[in-house]
Amino acid sequence: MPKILLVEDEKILRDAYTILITAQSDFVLDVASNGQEALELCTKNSYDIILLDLMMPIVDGVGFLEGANLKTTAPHTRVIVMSNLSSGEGLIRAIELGAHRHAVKSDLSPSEVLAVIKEELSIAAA
Amino acid sequence: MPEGNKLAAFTIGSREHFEFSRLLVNTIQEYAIFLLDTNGYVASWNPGARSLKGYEPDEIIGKHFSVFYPQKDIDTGKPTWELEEAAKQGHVEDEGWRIKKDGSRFWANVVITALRDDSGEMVGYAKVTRDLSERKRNEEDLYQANLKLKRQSAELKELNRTKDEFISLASHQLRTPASGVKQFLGLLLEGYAGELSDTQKEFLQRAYEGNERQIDLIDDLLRIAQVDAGRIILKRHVVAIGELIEDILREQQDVFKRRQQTVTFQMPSQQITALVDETKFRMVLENIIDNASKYTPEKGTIAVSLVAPNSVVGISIADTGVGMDEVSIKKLFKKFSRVPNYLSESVGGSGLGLYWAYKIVQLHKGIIEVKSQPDTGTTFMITIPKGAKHA
Repeated sequence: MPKILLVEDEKILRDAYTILITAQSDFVLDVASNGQEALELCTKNSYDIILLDLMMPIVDGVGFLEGANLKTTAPHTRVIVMSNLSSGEGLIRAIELGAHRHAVKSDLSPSEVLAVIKEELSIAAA
Repeated sequence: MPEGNKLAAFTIGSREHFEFSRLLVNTIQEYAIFLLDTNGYVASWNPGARSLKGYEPDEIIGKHFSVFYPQKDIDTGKPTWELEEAAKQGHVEDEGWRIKKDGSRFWANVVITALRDDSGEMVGYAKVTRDLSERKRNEEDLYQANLKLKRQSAELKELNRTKDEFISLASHQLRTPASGVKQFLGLLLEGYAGELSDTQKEFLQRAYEGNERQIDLIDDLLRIAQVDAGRIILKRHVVAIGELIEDILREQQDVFKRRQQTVTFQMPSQQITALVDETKFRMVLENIIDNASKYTPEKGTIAVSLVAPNSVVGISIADTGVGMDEVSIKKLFKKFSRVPNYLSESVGGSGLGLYWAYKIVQLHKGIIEVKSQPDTGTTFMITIPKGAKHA
């Protein structure tokens, strides 16, 4: 079963994505509310998909990518950056650090979020 | 000899010449012209000196000329220094504060000329003083006005920066709750909380659309803040403009169909390309085409055409819509301008779309123009340079 890690500091969005993803019977979900929690989870688990917010307290999205070094530790993991902005320094840096895809949170309805996850899973499987 | 030419008849140094010179000095009111002896004591006083400095001749003749100087200058020895300089150089010129009899000061231009007799011996000094207070005042006013302007300009820049930062931050902060609302309404609409009645669905759909409009507004605000702050950098590459327009029209065809509008597109047979930032230029065209449709009643026509004379690309978007009067046209490209008409209430908008379009076309070194008549229709014309040799 595909394993997904959701990294999001905003409770309302964390809750909404959690409801959406756990309602799918074929996904396993872990949730982190900042980059540090995500780093800890990544030492114990391996994920197929990471849904990553950028602006977060303690360790932000870029900090997580720097610390996790996924290219080496988990090359099969697909990282989807879910940000509030369609451009910016953080996004450029995230892509440099190996993020595979970028989506603006306010652009996607729940079914569109699922579609993005499924697309990335099919890329990973290919 | 003609009357008016009397002066020319005098031999320099003659008695008549001397009389005329005295007349000259005694008639001039605007200049203080007087003599100092070799030690700097006042030896003559003309009416100009009297009106400028306020002393009667018998009050000042025989007094040392340093009385005209402020105490500060006297303390530093300026009057004596000026006489020495004049003796050495022939004359000395100075601008500075001088004191009148009543103690008030005026800004003076002073020329002190050393006077020597035929044998070269110093006989005294001629001093000509002019009141430049008004000029000084004007300069001072100008300087102060300039200072004030500079200060205001700096304040405005700072204010503008704060405003841009505020909008940018606010847009970012506003998006999170709006995204949350979107997700939860979306979950409800997509059935994650059970079956909904048609009415429940309809109400939720309206809430969802309201929230979508709010997200669009936030996006618009953020974009405008960026364009106003000069933070928009175009990423230009060669784009086939005809295909771009066809793509936009295809994307919006459902809307045209719903409104039963006829859309035509005319372009030359050869491909037309231009160097543009595709994402941003596309938004400009989408916006104008979308407006054309929104402000055209059902069964109307939208005619798009593309031409490429010489080094420019011209795009025209003409509709048979509600149109605008002169007053509305004038403020059309301004921020938050919304033109009132019978369709504008049903058409949601931030009044930022055309401002954005104007700015983006401007960044492409192009122009955007509009022709319109109420109840007849509106035509937007965008002209941009092709921008590259091969384009």
